[in-house]
Amino acid sequence: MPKRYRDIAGDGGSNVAGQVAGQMARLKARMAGVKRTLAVMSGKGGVGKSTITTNLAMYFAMQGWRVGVVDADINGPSLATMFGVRRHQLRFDTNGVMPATGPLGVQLMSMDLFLAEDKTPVVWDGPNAETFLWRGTMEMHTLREFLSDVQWGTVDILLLDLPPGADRVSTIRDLLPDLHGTVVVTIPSAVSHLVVLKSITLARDLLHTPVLGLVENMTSYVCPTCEQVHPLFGPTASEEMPLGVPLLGRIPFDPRMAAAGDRGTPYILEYGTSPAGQALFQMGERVRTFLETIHEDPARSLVP
Amino acid sequence: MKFVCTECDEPMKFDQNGGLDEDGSMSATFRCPSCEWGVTLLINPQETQMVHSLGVKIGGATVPAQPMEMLQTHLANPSETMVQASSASGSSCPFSALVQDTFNTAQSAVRWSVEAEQRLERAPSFVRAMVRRGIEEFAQEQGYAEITPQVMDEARTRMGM
Repeated sequence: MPKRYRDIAGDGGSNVAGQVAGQMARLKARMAGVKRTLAVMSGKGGVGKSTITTNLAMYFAMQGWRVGVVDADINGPSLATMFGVRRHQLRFDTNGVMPATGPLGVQLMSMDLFLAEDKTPVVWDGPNAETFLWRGTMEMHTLREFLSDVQWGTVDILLLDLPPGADRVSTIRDLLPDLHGTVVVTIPSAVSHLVVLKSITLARDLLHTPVLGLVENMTSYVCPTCEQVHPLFGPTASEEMPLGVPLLGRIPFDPRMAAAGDRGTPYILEYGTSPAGQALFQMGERVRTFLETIHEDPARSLVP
Repeated sequence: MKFVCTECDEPMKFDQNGGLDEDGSMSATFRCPSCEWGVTLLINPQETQMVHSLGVKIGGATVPAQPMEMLQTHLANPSETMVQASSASGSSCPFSALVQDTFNTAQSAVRWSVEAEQRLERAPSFVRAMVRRGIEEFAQEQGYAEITPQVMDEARTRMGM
């Protein structure tokens, strides 16, 4: 009977499995200095994931934590601008790339730092035909290099700002099997909640990643004239969140938040006492509590 | 992917990397260690790209990967600082690692004629550097001071490029 695939050790010399194992070993070695990893995700676009990630990073930095941030949105990176490091000059050495350093020493790696101009899209050199065959793989391995080839040093938390859609959660889970948790961002609309349900189900029930909770962004609008709070999209959802996921915070809409992001100055630094600023602080406190619960007592994992 | 010599029932071993063709296709030869019967795997440009996008090398990696090697190699429109940074790290050509693996040569001093340069420009950008280095290697071995279209034809015939 002819030999079968499993009968032959190795692959004739390329050692592809060994090369991939080497990549993962390099990643694991780099992550040894990272105490906690947390992904910020949403099934839906435009709900404010990057804003929440930026301000969450600043919250942790304000607590004295050493913070790293990975902009995992390879095709739509925005964090370099939001942290004010768009013009950062990359420095390479044999040990890897130095991340950009933003306010309060927060370290950042983003695709934006590799692109020629603001208007430059991410385009890969390769055959023009059938790019669907390899484009997703390129993006996944770019993310792997963001994690393994950046000199993160020792950090207390590494935040990953995921692009819209649920698919990237699987990639992150493959790269970081010890991911400490995910924070899911939504807005108070039935459509957003519907889409987010799928992300929660995928992350929690299928990939067994702890979902720390849900952040409801743009919940309300604070009138600058009368300072009364009005619903922005409609009736706010009840405290009962989809699929029993804990509520981490409801963040009111404040036009200054977008302006702060455009300026590269995280909102929470300038407007920490505003209603939205206070809500962001409360969200940070809850995330921190959940993380410390999981990290210091793994038996109390949030995975059901 | 593995190959078995059906006559000997022996796993075949990687023998040689046939290099990249101008269109991005590639060849790799495997040989039976017992009877030395060989088989050449012909890889189309999409398959070549798939392998590159995994950050692995056919025939095995002979040098450690550079930091961000996949990104440096395949990003079509990098920032100037990234280009400078990769030069400073010793990787003046974004394909240097692949070139080194494939041809294992030092920087060439042979000249390129204008016609040869124009012809090289017709090769897809993602393989151009590797093709260039392969032809330079061939020209140096043959003692040519200048690479012309004729030398390119000769290299193509002799090297299977």
